[in-house]
Amino acid sequence: MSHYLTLSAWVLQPPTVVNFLSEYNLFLVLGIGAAVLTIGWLVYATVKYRVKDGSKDLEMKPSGKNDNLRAWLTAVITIGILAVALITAVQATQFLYNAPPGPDLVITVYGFQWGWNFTYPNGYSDIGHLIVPANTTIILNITSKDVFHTLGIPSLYVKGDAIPGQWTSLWFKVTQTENITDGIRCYELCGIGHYDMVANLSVVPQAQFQEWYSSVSK
Amino acid sequence: MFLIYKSKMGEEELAPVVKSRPSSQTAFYAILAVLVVATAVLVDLNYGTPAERLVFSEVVIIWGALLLLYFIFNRPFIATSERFRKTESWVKRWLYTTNHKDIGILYIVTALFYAFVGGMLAEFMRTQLAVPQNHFLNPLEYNEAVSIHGLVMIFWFLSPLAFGFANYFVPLQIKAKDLAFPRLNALSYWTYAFSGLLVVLAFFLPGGDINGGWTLYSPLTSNTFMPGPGPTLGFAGFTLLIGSITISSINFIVTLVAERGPGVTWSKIPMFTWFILFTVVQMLFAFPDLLSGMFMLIADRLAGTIFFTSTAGGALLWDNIFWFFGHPEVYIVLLPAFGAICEVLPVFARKRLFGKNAILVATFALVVPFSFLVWGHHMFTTPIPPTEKMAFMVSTMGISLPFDVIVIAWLITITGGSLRLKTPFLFALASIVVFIIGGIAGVFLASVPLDMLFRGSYFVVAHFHYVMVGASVFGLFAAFYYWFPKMTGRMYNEFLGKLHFALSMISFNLLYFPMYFLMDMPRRIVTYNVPSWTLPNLLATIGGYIFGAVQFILVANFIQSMRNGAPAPANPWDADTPEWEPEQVLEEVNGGFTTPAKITPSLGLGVGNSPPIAKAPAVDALRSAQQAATTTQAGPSVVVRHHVSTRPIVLSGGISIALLGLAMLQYAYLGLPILAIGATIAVMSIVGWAWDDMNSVFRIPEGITEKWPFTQVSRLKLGMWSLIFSDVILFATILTGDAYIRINSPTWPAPNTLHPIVLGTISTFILLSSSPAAYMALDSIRKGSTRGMLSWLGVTLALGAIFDGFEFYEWWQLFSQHMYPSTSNALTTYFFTVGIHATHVLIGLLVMVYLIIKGLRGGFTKSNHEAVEMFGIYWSFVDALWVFIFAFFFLL
Repeated sequence: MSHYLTLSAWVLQPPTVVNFLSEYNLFLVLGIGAAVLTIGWLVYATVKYRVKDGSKDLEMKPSGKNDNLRAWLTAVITIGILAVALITAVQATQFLYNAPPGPDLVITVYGFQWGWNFTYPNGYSDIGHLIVPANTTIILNITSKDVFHTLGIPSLYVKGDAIPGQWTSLWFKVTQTENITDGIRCYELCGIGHYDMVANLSVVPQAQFQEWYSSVSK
Repeated sequence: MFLIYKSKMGEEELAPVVKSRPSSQTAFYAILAVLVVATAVLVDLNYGTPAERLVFSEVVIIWGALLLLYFIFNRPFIATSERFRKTESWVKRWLYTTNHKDIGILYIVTALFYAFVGGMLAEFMRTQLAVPQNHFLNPLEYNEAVSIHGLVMIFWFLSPLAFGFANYFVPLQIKAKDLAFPRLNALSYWTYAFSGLLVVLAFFLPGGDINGGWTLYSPLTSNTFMPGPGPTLGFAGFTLLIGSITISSINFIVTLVAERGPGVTWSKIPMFTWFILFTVVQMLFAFPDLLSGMFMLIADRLAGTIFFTSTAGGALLWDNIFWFFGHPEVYIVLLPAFGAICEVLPVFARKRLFGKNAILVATFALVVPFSFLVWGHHMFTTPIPPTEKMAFMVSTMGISLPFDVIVIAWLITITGGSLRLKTPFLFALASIVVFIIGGIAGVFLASVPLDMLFRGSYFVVAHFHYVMVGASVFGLFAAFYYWFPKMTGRMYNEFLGKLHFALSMISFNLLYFPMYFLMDMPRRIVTYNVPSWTLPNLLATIGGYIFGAVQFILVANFIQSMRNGAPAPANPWDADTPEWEPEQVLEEVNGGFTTPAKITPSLGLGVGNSPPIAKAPAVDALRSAQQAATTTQAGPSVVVRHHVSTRPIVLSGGISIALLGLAMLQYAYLGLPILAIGATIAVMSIVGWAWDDMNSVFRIPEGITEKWPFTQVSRLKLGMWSLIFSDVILFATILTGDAYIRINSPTWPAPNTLHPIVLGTISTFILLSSSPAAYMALDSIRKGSTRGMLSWLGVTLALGAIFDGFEFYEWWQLFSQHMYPSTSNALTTYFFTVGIHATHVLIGLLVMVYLIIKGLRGGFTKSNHEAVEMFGIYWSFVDALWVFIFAFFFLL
């Protein structure tokens, strides 16, 4: 959890990660704030106004007109919180569906029971291993050969459904080279092999990628 | 739980047993038949498979049980003993009752049984996930467990538990005598109970149970990926349940509008009943949509249509249909608990509910309509356009506002009160606390960018368990403790109640809070091998074991308190809602409620007025001056205020057996006979039901009440309009689905190529001309002419039959050209839509046969012809529907 809070490290993070985390942190602060206020209020009221078990003949009190101010105040605060959350969420959503210009690589992904097939523009395809160059916009066009799957790369905070007959697109850009075993997973129940529908993700330097890519070109 | 009912009456007052043959014998033959059928099914399904040897042992066990039963049942001294007669009366009462209180109890007990089923499945899953790379369950078993756990907990536990309370307390809160349609209420209950058994039974059929998750995402649910009769039976059971829910919604809506007692205006309706009304309105909107989806799915599996397997409809069609239902469903399970909290908080805080109208308006004007506009947030990772996603994001965050209003109103209510921390109140508070946590997590999930991590992960699992288990179940537990004294006449054990509360709250959070940290762990995976997932999973499993175990405290507390608890005062919590007022006990044996002859005499043991399960009511504790004046001398327990009917249970049983046969049809020779047996039983009980009506065996009076806004609308007519309303949703979904497929299909036959317009036009004219004929029938009987009515009904019947004949002729023509439902998208939609409509026409024809027979027997008069009018409404609706279908398939 701690890495969510170290703001200085964000410069090096991939854009989709920054987009997610800035949104998430805002929601977390607002959400925990709201939870602490309301649950705190409830616990405080419970402790303060409780009476002994044996108390009898307690008349029903009226609901209290003086509380109207409190109600309106709380309502306005909640609406404010939601408005802030909503505005940022709309911005973050627009970011998701506008891939940055520049050098990119379009990879076609076929989900099947149970694995992932990554097909590169040169016709090379690999099952279970996605190799991409660093500092390049990667666009994944995802579909399925049989049932509903969902491709998710949790470390990059991107996810897209693999649906037969439909195409889902997503983009990401990785800044640092890394090797993630099982970095790609299926997030929709797709049969008995669902748990094992994983693929490895490798991010390699651009030069190294070019070398590998031409070696697998037909 | 098998208590013998002890009456305060002396033995001589016990009515004699009427039947000469002891029902033990009947029971014996019934069980014998079931066992023979079960053996035959097992052998048939597994003959020649590797499981044959296993089956042999099962057969031995079954026949062993049979022998045992023989010795139990055929011992005459048991069959004739007084004890047995009492037991028999007790059993019959629960099987044949149509009393809302009894059915409420049945719902609650059955819901707890299904909670046990779903809970055991959950414990299996938690055991499997306790440690990495576990092999406790295999992947198929795990997928079955995960799917059936979800389905059973939502549809067979949570909602029915809420509706158990609704059955019991809504009529009391609005001072109604019963629900508007008591037999339909019993039918709802029995179809609910049996449909769950079908789903459980599916585990033991080849192919296993449903194993695609409770969301049933297609095309995983198709025959290709989930073959076998097991899943089909599961889907059939689920469909049956939807039928039950639809009947129940109609029943409650009509009850709330037309059956309120004198003086109960809308403004006097208590909060729980309001929330039940909101719930049923949502159910009436949401479930027909799912029903059409399930019909399509079952047609895909049995009739070869390609709704969810072709890429034109497919996964996204199901997604839209399912979540249009699925999101309102979340509120359907939540709102009854909210209603209970609104009742409990003021009573225990000794302060009136703050902002009652604000809560009602927020719920009915915002939550109910908006719940149908947020379904897209379940589809943020599908390829729907980003603008749509943003619109759904806005509406989803917006729907949290009315909930803020409700929570704030609750908090202000308890602030400044005199809080009595009894168990119901504690559970209500617990419900609010976990709802706040789960609800805030829900706002996270409303955000598209955050869904890029959370979708399909354990974060979602944590969120919806917080709102469903936490908010809903805890809220209903509050209701359970709160109303327990009313239902049983005894107090529960306060210490055990508080212990149950404390342990539940702790273990609940231990179970689900760690799941919030499993943001990257996919849902529904059978095992994992990631170090960071190990600890949260282990904690959740420990929490799960404790949470499961402490629920037995509740069961033990209630069983013990029912027997030996302190007698409860009439109004133990000083509440001021009507259900706590002493009830007016009315002598209704000859008051038009039912004819005395049809009551099994031994059923008169105080059903309806005395505590249903416990021993004799604690009359001393209940006796107030007012009540003493209203009860008869012998105490409340001798008053027969009951109407019984064997039809609901037999009809539900027949339908269930038929569905079992239907699911097996493609796989086993026994499918057809079982289907035939079930269908025969069902048809016979429907005929019997009609016979009862024709002879006025079972009659309840129209409520005398203020019915605004439907002042001139009778109970039956309102029921019919509600039914038609749900049917509109059904057809709207079907036609929208058809249009969706048509838009996405690469090709679609031009008009007049597939379906001849001339034939279609002629049949349209025939059907439409039958509507005026139906009206003429009504007009005739209004003028008092039975003869005219019969003639016009005959004309209508003939026209309807000719129409259906035309439709089947066209089907036959298509079949002879080798055009089947599986041939193309166009034919799939055509056969399905027209088939559903033709079935509606067929039902209309059968109703006409009933009307004609009743008319011939002189059943309709100038003043009493409601059924003819009901039929007229239905028939016009079916005719009007055809116009849309005709335009879609023939003209456009």
